[in-house]
Order: sequence, then structure tokens, then C-alpha cells
Amino acid sequence: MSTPRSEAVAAMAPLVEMRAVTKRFRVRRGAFHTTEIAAVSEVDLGLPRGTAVGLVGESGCGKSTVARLILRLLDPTAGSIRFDGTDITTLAEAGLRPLRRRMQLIHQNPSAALNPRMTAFASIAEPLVVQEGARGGVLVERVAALMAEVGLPGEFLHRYPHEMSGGQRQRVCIARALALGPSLVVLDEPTSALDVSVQAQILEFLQSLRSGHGLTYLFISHNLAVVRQVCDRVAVMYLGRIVEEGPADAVLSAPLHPYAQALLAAVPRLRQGGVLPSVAGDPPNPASPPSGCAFHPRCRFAEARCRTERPDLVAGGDGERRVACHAVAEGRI
Amino acid sequence: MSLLEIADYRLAFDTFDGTHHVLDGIDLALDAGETLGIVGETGCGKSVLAKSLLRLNECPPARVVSGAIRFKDQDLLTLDARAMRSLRGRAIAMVFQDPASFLNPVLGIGAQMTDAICGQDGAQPGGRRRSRREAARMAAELLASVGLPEPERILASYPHQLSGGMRQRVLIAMALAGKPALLVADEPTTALDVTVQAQVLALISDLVRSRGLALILISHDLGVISAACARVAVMYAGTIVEEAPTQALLAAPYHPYARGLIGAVPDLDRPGSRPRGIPGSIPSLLFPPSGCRFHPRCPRASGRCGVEKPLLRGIAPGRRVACHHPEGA
Repeated sequence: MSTPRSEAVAAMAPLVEMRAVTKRFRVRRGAFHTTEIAAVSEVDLGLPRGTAVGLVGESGCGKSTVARLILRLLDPTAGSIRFDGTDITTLAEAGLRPLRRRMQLIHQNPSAALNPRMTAFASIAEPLVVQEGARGGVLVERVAALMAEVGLPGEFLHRYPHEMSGGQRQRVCIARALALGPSLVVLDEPTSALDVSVQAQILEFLQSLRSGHGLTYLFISHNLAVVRQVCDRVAVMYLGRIVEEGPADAVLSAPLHPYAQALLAAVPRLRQGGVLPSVAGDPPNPASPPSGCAFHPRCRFAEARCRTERPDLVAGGDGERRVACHAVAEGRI
Repeated sequence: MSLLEIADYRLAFDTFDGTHHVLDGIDLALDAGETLGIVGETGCGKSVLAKSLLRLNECPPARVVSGAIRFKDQDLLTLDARAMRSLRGRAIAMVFQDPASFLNPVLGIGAQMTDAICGQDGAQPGGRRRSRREAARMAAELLASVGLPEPERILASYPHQLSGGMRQRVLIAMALAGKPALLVADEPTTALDVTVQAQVLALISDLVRSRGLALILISHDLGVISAACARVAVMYAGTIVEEAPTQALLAAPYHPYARGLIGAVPDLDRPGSRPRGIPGSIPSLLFPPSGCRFHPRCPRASGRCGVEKPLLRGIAPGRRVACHHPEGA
């Protein structure tokens, strides 16, 4: 039986849905060799509307590649990506353009993201001019409204990036991202370049922005405390794969996957002196990933099966989350 | 007597814009085997202070305005260049933030470590220079002591073949070569991932204990300081605003800036506690605020704070604060 999808059902569907998305890069090894690196492997991830989904993991785990795939700044090697019901996996640039305004990116380093020769006004006005052809008094009014929304006083309108602090620059970037009324904002380490006292202001502001505009966030960070503060759900990545995904409170208070446990335990806590290394060794080289579960060489729960057979990301624990671990599936954790 | 004593140390940078008053009357002391963290935000002068201990700030533009830095019996600020050189690495050694930029990319680890070891011998007046083979053996021992497996393989590697954590271990091993009494670590784990950070912090704590090293750890991260340091000094705009045992400071800070800094850190284990920012931004050191440098942003500031610079004074056992109106007092 087929019925037209009701609007209610459409509203329930996630804004973004990644299905088995893989991205491989060719890299040169020496003068004559190229080899393939799987930066992202078979990632299944949904971003429910109006929620903030955190993506955490250590450098090189593929979190930024996932962000760029969702924004179609990179073309996936395999799998499919849907944005608001539209399959954007292979959509041509002309078809993507109307969607581009609905997805925005905020970078880690606001100083590098802003053109040093453009004033705050010029930076924020640019998307309005390019996408909507806004000009004159209307343009000035809209930019002024955006500046007010991100809490920058009018005198900043004609300032250049070097005349602003890091936090103020990040506010300009946020205003520019908001200009076209996006549904999805991808934040790639938005506060890592900021001091902690400024970070607190920006995080608070990002949260009020999300509830005010009904935005959906993909929030990439290596700072688990920040993710816990901002996000509803969180996905932990290791070597290109999601190893655990679920509600942020559950995953970040009682992680199931041994890597997620190690990551959480390694965070130095304020009111507890000393630190115990939770896991030995370094993340492996993506050019020669370990067999079976990629984490097995560093995992204290590893058994024979972990060395040969890759665990699938399946429902585990309370049923609210997905975990890719044999030990969890077998009830050993 | 303290191992290290910094007294009323003022440092300025003369630039085309004018004179930046970067360090404004630093008073600090450290005993042998003690661990001290220095925490503060960008531009507070913590790295400049760390470099001052080895006289690594280029003069000019840097200029010592006043004060003394005494290590054991010597005033580091008046030492001649030769004596200073023999002190570096052998009395005070330093580890920096980005391990990749402190290793020569075209030289093997073995060559760089034996260079460092033989260089130490050369700097020592009347010292005997070790043979390359002796130095290589010592390098392997040092690598083993910082927890690197297969030292021989590491010695035969180039920096790009090692991970960030391994490179930082190599630099720590090199810092230990001269058997220093004081290790200065400037953001040693900031470039590392969190699981590797935990390993390196545990290593530094082990070395401090087993070798009786004194440690000065510079960091913007209170969590890192709390993990490795018994005592902490909080810096703001070139001044030390509070100094205390780390856990005591975290439990009950006296200085409003220290309180603000702690309150701004998101707590992983208490997601309900909303971190709060500190309104305003850090002042220009070209024209620093009069009186207390924090007074324009301070919720407790009075008229006095704008005119009279508060001195770092004892307020409780082991605790000093530079504030006219400390919290809870």
C-alpha cells in the first residue's frame, strides 16, 4: 500500500541521513606509488531535525571528512546522503545550489575563515548579494539585523578582522552563516581557537541560536565536555568508523565501546588530581588499518574474533544507542 | 632556600607601536622537586615568563625593566652568555608545545639526540666530551626511560616517521639528557590527542617523582594543571593574580578572575552546570589598565582598583592573592 508521505512523517524524518557512506582518498607514496586511504568507512548517521549531534574522536579519525561529505564539499566514494528528503549523493552543482543556502559551515579558526581585506559588513553581506542579489538600504538593514542578532554593536560594521578579538571574529562568521536562513549548520571545532572564557560565551550563544531558529547542528569537537554541554546525541569515531552512537548523556556518562571509555577516561578532570593513561599506543595509520576491529591492538577486551572479524554498528546497551564491538554484543562489557 | 626565585620581574617589548608591558612585577618561588602550574589565557604572558627562565626572549625587542631571577645562587639576568649556555639543559631544561617544530626534519633522531648529548658536554667547562658511541648508548637509555619501546629503531627513524606523542617523548628524553634540576614544559600536550595527552602527562609526573625534578608546567587548560601540578599560579595580563595549592584554588578561588576562569570551564561530569564566560576581553598591554589590570572586567571592582595596583599578598596558609576585594574575605 502506498500513500503520499504526509507532512508529519516528512517532519519526523531526519534532516540529513547518511547511509553506508565511504570516502577513499588516493595519496602518493613516494614518486611512483599511490595508495588508497579510507578516511570514512560505511558511516550510517542521521541528524534529526532541530537536534545537535556531536561528532567526536581524535585527529585523523574522519570527523571533518564526514562534515565535508554532508555539505557535499567532497563526493562520496560509496553510499548515499539525503538532505531533507533529496538524495544529494550525486546531485549536480546546479541542483545543489538551492540547497547550499540551507547548509552552512562554521570553521575552527575564524581568523583564517574571514578575508582580512573585507570588513565585517562586506563579509556578512556577501552571501546575501550572491544568493539573493540584495543591495542598497535593504542589504544594510539585513546586515545590521544579523550583527545585532550575534551581539556585535553597530560600530563593528566597518571593522576589519584584525581590529576584532577572536570571539568577535567568530561572531561575524556565525552572522554570515545565518544570513541565508539555513536549516543545517556544521560547526567544525567552533571554539577550539578561543580562550575558555570566550568559549563559554560563544557556546551559550550557539545554544540559544539553535532553539531560536530551530537549527540542526552537526557539532565536531575533540572536547567531550563541550559536546556534552551542547549536543543531544553524539557519535564517537575511530579510524573512519563510528564505534558508538547514542544520546549524549548516556554515551558520555557511561560509554560502552572500549575506545569511547578510554577517550572519556583520558580527559583530565578539574577536581581530581593525577591522570591515568587509559589506553596505550597511538591511533593506527589509516593507510594500513588493523584487521578485524581497528581498535583491537589497543583494546584490553580484545579476543581472537576481534582480530579477524569487523564488528557491525548494531543496537546495544539500553537500545537507545548503537555500538560496534564484539565484547559488547557478547555481553563481556 | 628556594631552587628558583623570581622577584619583581618586569619585562617589556619595544615595538614600533610603542612599549608593551608584558610582565608586570612577577613574584614566584619554587623549591626543588616541586610542581607548579602556570595557567592563563592567550597573551597573559605565561610563555614569555617560561622563556625568561632560560633567557630565550630575544632582546631587543624584549627588555628587562627590573627584577631578578635567581636559580640556586646565580642571578640568571646578569649571567654572561657562556655561563648561561652551560646552564641551559643542564640546570633548567625546556619542552615546548609543538614537538614537530623542535626536531630537524632532515636529520635522524639518533643524530639529533647525540648532538644534544655531546653539546651538553661541550658546554660544561672542563667537561669530557663523550664519544659518539657513548652518546648513542645514552640516547637509547633515555628513550627507554621515557617509555619508548625499541629505542634502537627510534634512533634510526626520522621525525616524520614518529607520531606526535612519540616526538614529544623524544623531546622530553633530550631535555633529560643534561640531568636538569628544573623542567619547564610550555603547553607540552596541547598539540596531542587526549589519550596521548594522558600518556605524556603520566610520563611527566613519573619523571618528576623518580628523578626529583622540579616542574613548571605552562597551560591554558586547568584540567592539565590539576593532573600534574600540586601548586598553581594564575596569570592575567602579565601579572600573577593568585597562587595556591591546585585543589584549594579549584575548590575556592579568592581572585575574581580565577573564579571566572574556573567557572568558564565546561565540566564533563556535571553537564547541568552552565559554564559562564567573562564579559569583556583581555586588555592591550600597550596601554594596560591602571591599578589592577583586571578591574575593567571585574564584578567586584571599586574606585580603589582603578588607581592602586594590588600586591600579591598572603591571605591564608600557602595562598597568595593580588586583589583588594578577594572573594569570600
